[in-house]
Amino acid sequence: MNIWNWVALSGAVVLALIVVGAVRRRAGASASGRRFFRHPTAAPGLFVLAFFVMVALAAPLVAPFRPYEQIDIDHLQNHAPSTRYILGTDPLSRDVWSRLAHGARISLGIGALAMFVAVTIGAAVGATAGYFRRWVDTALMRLVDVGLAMPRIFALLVVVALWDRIAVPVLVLVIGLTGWFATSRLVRAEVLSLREREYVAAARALGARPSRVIVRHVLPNAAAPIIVSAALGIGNVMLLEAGLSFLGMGVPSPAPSWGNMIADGWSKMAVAPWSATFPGLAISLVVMALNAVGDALRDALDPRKEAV
Amino acid sequence: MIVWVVRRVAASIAIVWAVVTLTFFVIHAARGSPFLPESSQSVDPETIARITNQFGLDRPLWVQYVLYLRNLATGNLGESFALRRPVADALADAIPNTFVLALAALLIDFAVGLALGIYQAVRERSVGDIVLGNIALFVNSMPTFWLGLVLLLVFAQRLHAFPVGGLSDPVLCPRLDSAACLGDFVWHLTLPALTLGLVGAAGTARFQRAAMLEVIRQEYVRTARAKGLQERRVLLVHALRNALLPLITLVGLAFPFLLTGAVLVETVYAWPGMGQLAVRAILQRDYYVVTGAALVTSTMVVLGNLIADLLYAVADPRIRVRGAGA
Amino acid sequence: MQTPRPTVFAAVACLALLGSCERRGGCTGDHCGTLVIAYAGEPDILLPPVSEFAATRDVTEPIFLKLADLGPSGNTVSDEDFQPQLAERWEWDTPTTLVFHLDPRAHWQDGQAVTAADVAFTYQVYTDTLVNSPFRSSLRQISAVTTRDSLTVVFRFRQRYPEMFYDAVYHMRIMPSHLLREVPRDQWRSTAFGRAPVGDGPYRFVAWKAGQSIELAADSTFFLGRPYIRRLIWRFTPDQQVAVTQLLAGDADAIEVLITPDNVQRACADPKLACYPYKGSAYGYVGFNLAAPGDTTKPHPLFADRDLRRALVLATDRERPLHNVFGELARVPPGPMSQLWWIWDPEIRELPYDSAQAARLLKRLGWIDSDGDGIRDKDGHALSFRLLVPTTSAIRRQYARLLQESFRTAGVDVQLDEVDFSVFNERARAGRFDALLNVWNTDPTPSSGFPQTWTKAGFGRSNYGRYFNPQVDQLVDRAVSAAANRDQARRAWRSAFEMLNQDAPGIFLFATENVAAVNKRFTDVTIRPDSWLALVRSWRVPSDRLTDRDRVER
Repeated sequence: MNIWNWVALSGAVVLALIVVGAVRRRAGASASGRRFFRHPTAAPGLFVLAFFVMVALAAPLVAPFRPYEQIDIDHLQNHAPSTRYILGTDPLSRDVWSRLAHGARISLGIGALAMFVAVTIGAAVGATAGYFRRWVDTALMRLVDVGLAMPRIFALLVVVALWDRIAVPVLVLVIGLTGWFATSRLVRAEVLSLREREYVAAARALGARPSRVIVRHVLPNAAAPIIVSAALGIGNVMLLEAGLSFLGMGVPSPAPSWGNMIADGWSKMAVAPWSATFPGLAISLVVMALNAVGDALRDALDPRKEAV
Repeated sequence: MIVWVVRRVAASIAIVWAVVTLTFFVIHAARGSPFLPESSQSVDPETIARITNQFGLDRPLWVQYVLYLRNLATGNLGESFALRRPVADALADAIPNTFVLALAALLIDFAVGLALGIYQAVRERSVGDIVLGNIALFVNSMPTFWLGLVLLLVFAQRLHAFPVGGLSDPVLCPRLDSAACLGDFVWHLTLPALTLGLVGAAGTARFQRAAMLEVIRQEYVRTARAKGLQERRVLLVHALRNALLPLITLVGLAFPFLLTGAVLVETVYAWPGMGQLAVRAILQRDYYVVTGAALVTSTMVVLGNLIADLLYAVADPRIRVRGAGA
Repeated sequence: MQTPRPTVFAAVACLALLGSCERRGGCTGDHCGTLVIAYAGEPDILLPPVSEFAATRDVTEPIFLKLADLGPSGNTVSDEDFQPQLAERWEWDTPTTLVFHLDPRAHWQDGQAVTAADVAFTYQVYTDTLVNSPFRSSLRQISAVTTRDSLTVVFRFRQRYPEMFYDAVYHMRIMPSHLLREVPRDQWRSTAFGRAPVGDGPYRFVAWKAGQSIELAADSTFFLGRPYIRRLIWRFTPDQQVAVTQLLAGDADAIEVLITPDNVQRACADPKLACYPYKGSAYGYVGFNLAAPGDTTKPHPLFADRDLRRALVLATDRERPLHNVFGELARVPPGPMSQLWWIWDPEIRELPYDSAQAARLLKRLGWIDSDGDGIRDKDGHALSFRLLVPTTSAIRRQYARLLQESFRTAGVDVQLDEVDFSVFNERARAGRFDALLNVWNTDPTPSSGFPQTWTKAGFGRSNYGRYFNPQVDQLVDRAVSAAANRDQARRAWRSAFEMLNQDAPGIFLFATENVAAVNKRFTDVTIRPDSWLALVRSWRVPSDRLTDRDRVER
């Protein structure tokens, strides 16, 4: 790590703190915002997320080496953490910190994109089922039951293993396609209750198209459970990706992801634990932060809390 | 009530059927003749002829599907090319192992989770609550297999306190036929069950804490206190009873979690259960085992949900009144 | 030795259920001992004629006998250094007729005597095209095997050559004709006998728990001497690292190879283990597919070009990856050979590591980076290929990543296809790959293994890449049949290897030096490099060093 990397890293920390501070000030204005920050883990969680996002965005700046670079395979493999290689090197003499930073891009990116796919599909299906009810509802919800009946990793493995090589975009799509079921149930429940509100009935009476009613009036109010399940869902996707990589089915080499860093490093766990431990810690921290933020969001956006 | 039960059971069967159908067609969509090994060198012609005949591999797709369902009904799940035995036999050997693991993990999950959750709710906002809460959050956020690897490294490799994976000592206890061998089995079961159970326990603890806090704050508990009953009795009798209700849904939710976690944990600890069987079958392109495992896992998940729903209906009469729907 | 934890549970359980405990008595004396072998992998079927898995060879070694076996010197030429096994003596009737006299004490484990008919039957099975044994081509110089009486077998050869005795005895394990005669020849790969074999060797089969373990028990009536170790148990693990961990934790007693330097360091430093280095019989390489993937009638779009292959070999530094993966425990081979072969000679000419020359050659072939993405291209196609690697081998996965990066700096894009071992084998046999990272466990002499892999005789067998140079084939024939003149044979082999190296059908990466580890309580441990358990019946545990595992009576 040279001086510029340290500067960039400190910059990331400072920026993350600023972001959290700004959010906090903005949130203080509303009751839900105050409820959010009443959780002691909300602010630290937000900071951790902001920090890792900054690191992911600024990866080439904070990483002293390129993620594919095998620095010196003769002498520098499995090197313990030192001032030059702050998190050590892996069995192929690649700098763990550099791969962690670049891996943040891929792991967080997969998490966010897959969740985006899942939430979009889930919201669409749930809203449709809740709005139209009757046989549309029954049919779609039976589909959701089927989807929930198979453990997600099993379904993913079957699909991923069936095709010889899986490109990362396809992986994202497939993870998203197996993860929308819970969201759809939540959205459906919200839509069912919102459907009877006056403004919705008014819009329908005025003859607005169902899609317009759903998108303009219903969904914005159903946003709360969507956002919460998205926050928690990203964490699940990251854990899934790690599991898939561990079984050899994740992001292909040489691209770094936190999951495949664990898979690459675990055979040397006994003599060089850092190459598998740090990515595991990173995943745990980010998922922990997402859980904390998700919990706080759930409290903050819960309209029933207005009375208390 | 009976009507409701019958309806739920029928729906469950339909769900399992749909999963098997989906698996069947997805596998067929991917490659031409998936139910034969990629190269016939490793399997003898007689087996191939038998499979082709029984499952109609030379007939159109819908015929194959019907034959597959018919074979399923008679207990013929096909043949595993990698293990050289009928799929039903391989599953029959593997399922009890996963079942025992899941049960042990569930016990640890609820024992630790409940105790932790109750303690935290009672001592809300104390140092203990905050510290334990954060630890629970951290453990719940870990990849299960990573926790497994760490536990293996520390307790099995470094401290030699537990065995390095497997089901039993092949020398001293090839069969479970004595008290000592039972002890050996439990000793082998400890780390995998702990791995699965602790991650689940963290989640259960958080859930239980929130549920209990919500109940504690409610009016009727204050009423009970006002009546002058002992603090302890108030908690244990009133709050716990109501907070236990949502816990039953956790039992239903636990099944998919355990099966998912079992896939990875069984791989880390070389525990010969269904998760490991399914993973190896998928990686080895052994498709009859894959569809068989899909059948079994979805059945277990659906069964778990059914049991949870039944328990919930028994415990909370309000549910029974509601008709169809959710 | 650490206190076994099960006794804690057993003690508690004993107090609760009096009388149902395991008593501490059991086996005493010199013929106890249980050897638990940690093994990463599993046999496919315990029937030697139909399986080339190393695991099958290891497990069937103590079950089935050969006519005669290699001596400690490992010399495969002529018959002086061979040890009698099933055959108690032999003689040459003519220069091409070999007569074996079977030991009358030899018997199958179901009681029947071993007869000459068994030997003739075995030869028929090994050479039957329906059985399609991987060893069939090794027996091509034998024209007939007949019986003279119930204990006399006659081998007739097509010609006289130095290793004819080796070919007669080494490849075939004698099978019981009375138990296998009725099995249709095309069903040998799935017959029930292969899951519960009956042999004539020092150990008999007890149980096979699929995916977990195989157990063999000593045959106390074995005619060449009762084995000392009472039971052999293989524990199967999903990979090498788990096997080593079991060994270090005391759950297993022995392992065939430790492979990596850190494993060797940890095992040899462990007070309860003893390390045994021995010559390695394995070599690893990247093999190019000279035919189109999946279609052997067409040439490969990239690798049919000899110059391109040469450029790729020139571009690869083989020393540094070897050092990264193996430390000092392997050497770069001067061609497709293992360290066990007597023709090992670092002076054999091969293509050097010369990245400048490689770059020039690639440029001359038209591969230049026209779009600046770091990968060379020509006519719109990038210089890219897929490398097939089995996920079950950590060594090969590491090598694959090292090579991927080294090729990338040379402007070649390599994508890794990491698949399960069984899928890897099937793709290799079917030719559905661009290049593959393969490891061969060789026989003690090149004459049986080399033609199978690098000549036309290996098409459809082990020559996955379909490399064929008629001059190499000629040189190999000359080397194999050169009259017992070692120097002449050595020169012919050397020319064959040098010619093959110039054709660059692959990149020859490593030839291992093995280190086995065995628990110190086992004495008289001798390891034969070509088959490490060949002499296991003389290993023993002195009666004062017996542990619980050794004493258990089951």
